[in-house]
Amino acid sequence: MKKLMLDKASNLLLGLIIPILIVACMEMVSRLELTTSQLFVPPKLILETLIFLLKDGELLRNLGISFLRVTSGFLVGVTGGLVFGAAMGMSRKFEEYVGPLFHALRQIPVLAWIPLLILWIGIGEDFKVWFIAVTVFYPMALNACAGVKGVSKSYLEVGRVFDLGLLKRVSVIILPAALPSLFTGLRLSLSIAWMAVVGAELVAASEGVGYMMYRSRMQLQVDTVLVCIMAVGLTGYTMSLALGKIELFTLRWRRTDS
Amino acid sequence: MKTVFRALLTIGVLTTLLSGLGLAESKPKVIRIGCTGSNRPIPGNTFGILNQLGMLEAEFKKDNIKIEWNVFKGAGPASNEALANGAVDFVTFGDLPSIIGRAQGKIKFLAVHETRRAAYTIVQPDSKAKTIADLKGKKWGVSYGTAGHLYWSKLVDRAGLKEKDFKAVNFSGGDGKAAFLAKEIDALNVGTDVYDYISLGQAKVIYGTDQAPDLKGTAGLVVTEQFAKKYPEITYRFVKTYVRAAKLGSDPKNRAKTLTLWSNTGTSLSSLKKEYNKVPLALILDPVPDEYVISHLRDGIKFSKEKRIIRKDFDLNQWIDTSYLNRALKELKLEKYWPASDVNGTPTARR
Amino acid sequence: MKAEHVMHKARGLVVPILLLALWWVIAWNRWVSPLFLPSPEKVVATFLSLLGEGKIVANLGESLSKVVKGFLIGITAGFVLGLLMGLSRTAEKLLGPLFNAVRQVPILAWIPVLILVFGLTELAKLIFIALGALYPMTLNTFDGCRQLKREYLELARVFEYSRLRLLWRFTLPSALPSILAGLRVSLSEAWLLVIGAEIFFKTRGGLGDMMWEAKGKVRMDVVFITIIIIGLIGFLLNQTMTLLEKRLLRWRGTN
Repeated sequence: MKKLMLDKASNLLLGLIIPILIVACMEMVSRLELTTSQLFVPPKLILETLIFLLKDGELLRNLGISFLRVTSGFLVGVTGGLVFGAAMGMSRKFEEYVGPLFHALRQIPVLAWIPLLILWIGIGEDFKVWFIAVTVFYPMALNACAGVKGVSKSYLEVGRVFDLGLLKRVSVIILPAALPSLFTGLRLSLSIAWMAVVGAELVAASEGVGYMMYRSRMQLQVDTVLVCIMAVGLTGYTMSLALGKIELFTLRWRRTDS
Repeated sequence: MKTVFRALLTIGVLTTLLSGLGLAESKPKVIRIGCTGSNRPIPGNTFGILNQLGMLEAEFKKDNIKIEWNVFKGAGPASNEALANGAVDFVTFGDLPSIIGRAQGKIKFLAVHETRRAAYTIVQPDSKAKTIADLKGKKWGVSYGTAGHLYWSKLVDRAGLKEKDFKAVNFSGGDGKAAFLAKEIDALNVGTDVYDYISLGQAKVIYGTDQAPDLKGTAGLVVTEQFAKKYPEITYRFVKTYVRAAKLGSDPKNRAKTLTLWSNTGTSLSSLKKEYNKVPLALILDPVPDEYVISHLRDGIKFSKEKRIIRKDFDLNQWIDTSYLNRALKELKLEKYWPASDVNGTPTARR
Repeated sequence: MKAEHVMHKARGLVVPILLLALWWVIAWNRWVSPLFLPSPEKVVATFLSLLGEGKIVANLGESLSKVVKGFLIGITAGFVLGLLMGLSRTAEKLLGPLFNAVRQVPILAWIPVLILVFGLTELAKLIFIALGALYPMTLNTFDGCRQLKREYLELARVFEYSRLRLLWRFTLPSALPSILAGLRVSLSEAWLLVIGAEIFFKTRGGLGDMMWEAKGKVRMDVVFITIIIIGLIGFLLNQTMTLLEKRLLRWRGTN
């Protein structure tokens, strides 16, 4: 037991060495004023800015707006992707009809959708939510399709033997069996959603954390930019942790089951 | 171990020698300039005259010094980034960018590039908005970190409103114009090209420096402290050529030629004519920082600190260095050429 | 058998053809403003004229050169980093936490920092693209290194192989599938980020820039064309990588 704790402690320390070195380096270089490069901002200033922005409410307000956008777009895109992907997985015919077009459109890098969407729906909230939804749709659809296709044949047999209706088959057999793939899709979609919201806010926004970064950059405030980066990273990480916990919970019964 | 030590020592000595040689050089190989431009890579005002008439190239030809022009679409912020990266030596940009630049790094304010810079707020041609308050909640294109940002900030302040009352969408470069023309935003702040928008039926003006002359901006010429320290003579000659160009532009006899030169930036000649009918060119291109300019900059610094655009205050006198300018004026015998303006911008003759 | 195969493929064409027909009808009747939906003929006509002007080839070349440079830098760095962390537990403990922390940040969020530190220069764009290629490459290389089967490790220990021999003969070959997969993912990331770089770093040149300019002038037809080209190139790059992957793995034989 003690060895385990010692191990964990030493791992933690090792992991902190390089970050501490970087912080020290930044402090030294900015103190000695060796360069005007924006990279070397005193860490103390970053901390001060963080505290100020938190007190001021600016950081949380903008983060909250981005978070809302992510959640809305995520929900819309993931639902669409789930339904579409599951349909592709379950019906061969459906896949044959829509597959080629689906895969063709998939080749388009997500960022290339920005100009098109802006021209079609302007630069309001709608744009951001739809953009996120579009970027999230594909990974979810792919994973849903793979998940559904991967459902063990024996399970499907059971459904047939018991003569279950479509709805029952989906909810009782297919969905639960496809869950691991679905969660992979969800996790992937979440990180893509954050990338999408930052991208959208760097281009056409009046609020949000990406907007905050953009504005601070124009005003040469690297410390604010760095604070925003940390905020986004932390929020994204927390959300994926939460997702992971949900995954563990939903899959727990499954492990004992199979 | 011994060999390593010896090797390091040799390297150390060699580098010191070589850098010493470098210091012995009194001339740079290239003078790098940064400025703002829009669609075409040609700046306006005095720099426009310098650029198009090739005056700097002529001045430094005999020293074999190249002149490198970097005309940024991204305006002030781009120039500031270039300064921070040591990519340029001389820069002209508006009041807010220069204030931001000084608060962040070591630059010297050498001379004025433009005073009484006009700014206007335009809205879509079918818009029902008549006052700033009518734009509450609407999308307003702002380029943060530029002179237009200061204009906008002061404007909002003066209308008794807050920046949060509007949806201020951030744009850099020409994106604001594109977004406005594509009707993605409701309002935009523009400058001397405003009449182009009007004549093409693309916009209506609802506010501007015509109604609020104290919102007019100032632009300046700055140099990095490093460059000035290393090459004081070159800096002086640069300023001298600059003053000559300013005089060319200020001379009422050259008015037509100057405006034609400036129309090469993309703003139409007729728009420029309308705009520059309001104030004599000599007042605009006056390179000497007089009371009008200084009080404007002082206000700007205070305002920026209040709005947390800059974090630290700085001393105006430490920043403005007119030694080169004064020497140039003396040598060119132009000390009394430009009138000095008082705090309100009223010109009085120079003593 | 053959007929059914053809039927399958034919079904795939039904929807695209229907959509194309719908597009043509809508444009013909002007039910939607041509600014939103240019007619198919206009798109083709603009494409041909742009091709003639050489604009497409020039911008394509610009984007391709960026993707190649950024990709190469990124995968080299990623390979080295992944190898370091995969082979040495200490390295993993030193670098791992930082790497994982940085990975949480969406790559686009680094753009403002890169611009402030490196300016709006080619270097900044290359670093951005390389960063995108770096993440998947590092992860995959790391995973690959860890895949070495215990038996081989034991074997190497028994025969007292040198570390280098172990690396060259055992670790790397067994890591190959992961590494190749990493290359594929890195390439598509790099292509995505080239377009991103051209949009967000706002300098002249490249397909992304062409698309953005077109958006600024509300030239939907040019936007359509650039999207199609970008998607096509992405597809081709992906296919090339997949082919390479299959070839190399086949040569290796079954494991």
